Amino acid sequence: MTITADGIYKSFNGFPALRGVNLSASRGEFVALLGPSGSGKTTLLRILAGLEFADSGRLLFNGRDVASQGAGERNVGFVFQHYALFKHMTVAENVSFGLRVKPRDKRPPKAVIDKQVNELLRLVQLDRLGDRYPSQLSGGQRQRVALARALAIQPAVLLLDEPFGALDAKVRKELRRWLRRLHDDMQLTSLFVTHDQEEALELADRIAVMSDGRIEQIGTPAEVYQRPATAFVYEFLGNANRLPCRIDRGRAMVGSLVLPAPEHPELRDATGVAFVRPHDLIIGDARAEGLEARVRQIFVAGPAIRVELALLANGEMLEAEVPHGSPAGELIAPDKLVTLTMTKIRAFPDAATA
Amino acid sequence: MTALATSLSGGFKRPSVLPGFGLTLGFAVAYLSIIVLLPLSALVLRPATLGISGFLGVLMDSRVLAALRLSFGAAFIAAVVNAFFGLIVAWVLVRYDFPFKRIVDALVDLPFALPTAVAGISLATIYAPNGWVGSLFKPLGIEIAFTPLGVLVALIFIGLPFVVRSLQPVLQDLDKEVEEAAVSLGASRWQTFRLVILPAILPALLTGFALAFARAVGEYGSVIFIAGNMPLVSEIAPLLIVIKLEQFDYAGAAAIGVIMLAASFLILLLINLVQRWSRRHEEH
Ligand SMILES: Nc1ncnc2c1ncn2[C@@H]1O[C@H](COP(=O)(O)OP(=O)(O)OP(=O)(O)O)[C@@H](O)[C@H]1O
Ligand SMILES: [Mg+2]
Repeated sequence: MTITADGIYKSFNGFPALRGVNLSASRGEFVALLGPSGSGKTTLLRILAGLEFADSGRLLFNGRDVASQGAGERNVGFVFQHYALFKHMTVAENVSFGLRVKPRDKRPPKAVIDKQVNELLRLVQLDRLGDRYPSQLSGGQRQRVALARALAIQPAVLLLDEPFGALDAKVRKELRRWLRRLHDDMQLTSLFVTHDQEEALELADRIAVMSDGRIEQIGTPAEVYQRPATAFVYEFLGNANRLPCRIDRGRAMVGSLVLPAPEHPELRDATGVAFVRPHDLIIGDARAEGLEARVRQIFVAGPAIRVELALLANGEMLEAEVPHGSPAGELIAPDKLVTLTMTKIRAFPDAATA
Repeated sequence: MTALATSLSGGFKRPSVLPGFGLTLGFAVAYLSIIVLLPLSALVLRPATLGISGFLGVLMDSRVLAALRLSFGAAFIAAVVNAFFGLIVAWVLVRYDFPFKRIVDALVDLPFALPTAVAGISLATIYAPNGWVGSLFKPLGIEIAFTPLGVLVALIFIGLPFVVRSLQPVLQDLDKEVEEAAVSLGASRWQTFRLVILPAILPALLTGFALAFARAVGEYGSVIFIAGNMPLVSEIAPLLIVIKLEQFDYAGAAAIGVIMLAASFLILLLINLVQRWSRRHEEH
């Protein structure tokens, strides 16, 4: 199933939750909706599922307009953030619900339903727990029941709202890899909401980064991470230090440093911000050329040494990462004066001067 | 008291994070004994002076049997009617916004607050053959006031708040997403209500039903004005008790009381068991 959303607009009592969203997902694709809280991810997903209706815009499933179809007719599996299981039904009854409510002429016979439920429970690795009630399950198990319940109606589209939000890091990791395999095996078209960028980068074929009711950028994980289209996307994906700069003819001036900014050959002396990732900040000796900064804190635990520094020029805090055992490690000590240089930055002109 | 509680709790106490099980159980048992069991045991002991045959004699009296049948029958039907319409009223009050909603909401409690005699007299007035409502039914050949139907009307009137107030908080707390899940799995509105909403509110509905029923069985003030009180036809058991008291037949009055007590207790116990079954998914 291909999904196309075209200029979706939705407001709640005058508050615009979605402001013209364009999105498409082709058959078999796994798309992540990534964005900060309140950016409209759930609203978009609910509109796709038919649980909410757009004020304007078109929504096509396989090229057909589904605006007039209710949630029950769209054949969409929806997994709610808080599972929304039927508490008074057993796990097996939860899973079979979508089959049991089919109109009489389309409803499979009981034996067939039982067989399908057993298969689904095996698929989500809950085959012994069919007789339990949701209150007797762990969070991860409930999550998988919710998934099995959504899959029972053999949806062409699977929508998941922060499917791993309430789980601990380890279970999260296991479940998401497993979900990706399941998606591939069943040839679904899936959209899932997350505000965990690592999850989106690891799992998705494409990522749609949302902010303030709009999609800022959509692309493969490599594209959005390496070539972020806007300052927002750069900051949202991974840690970033912000430095004020001037952009002029494909170069960015950060303090006394002049760095290449090939994306902006046309700009003439515009103000903007330069972003630099912590591992692209190079710490040098105090006498070397660069931005002067003072070391504030050092965190040694973790895969690399994390250093917090304050720029002498304006007191701004920066974060740098230094591999364990590198020569720069020798230079840092609390309160020590150092210089900072960088090779790789990404500059964005301020909105007003762009 | 705590010693008693501890010995009582031996077999069924489960470890809990909330302290004070022994103390609170002891208090509850003592409190119920003084407030409920003590007066009731006096009631049960009183007809003992009649002996078994005297006791059965009171019961087998056709007037007593008719009164008991009317009291329990009408109370049961009234509770069923209230469960149905009370559910609709509670649903509308929780789910929809409409003008004067607060006022309608407050109206629900009125049958509760009104002195029962006032309620009884107003009901009798409007349902009498020449009253507002009674005159509408008269041409159809239906008389409400001064018939068993009148008893039913009064019992429905006083029972409504119990169902509505038991259901409201539970309806309010229903998770919207659970209903949406049902809809997106293809359930119709009716299926969603029957399979998802109703089981969730069933325990509260049963509570409301039991309260409305219990109140209706014992109701006196609002019924006697509209009932007409014809022996064998529209005479309720509580009235018969009063009549016996006025004739200084204390043992006879207590005998009817004991029967009502036993029957009510059994019925409430039964409702409680059904309720337990309807909550089976919560425990373990
Ligand atoms: N039913 C509603 N009524 C009014 N406002 C709403 C409603 N649903 C969402 N909103 C508003 O729309 C905006 C987008 O909400 P949405 O739930 O889509 O955000 P989200 O991206 O899913 O956030 P989160 O990550 O916190 O779940 C929010 O500002 C929210 O307050
Ligand atoms: Mg959300």
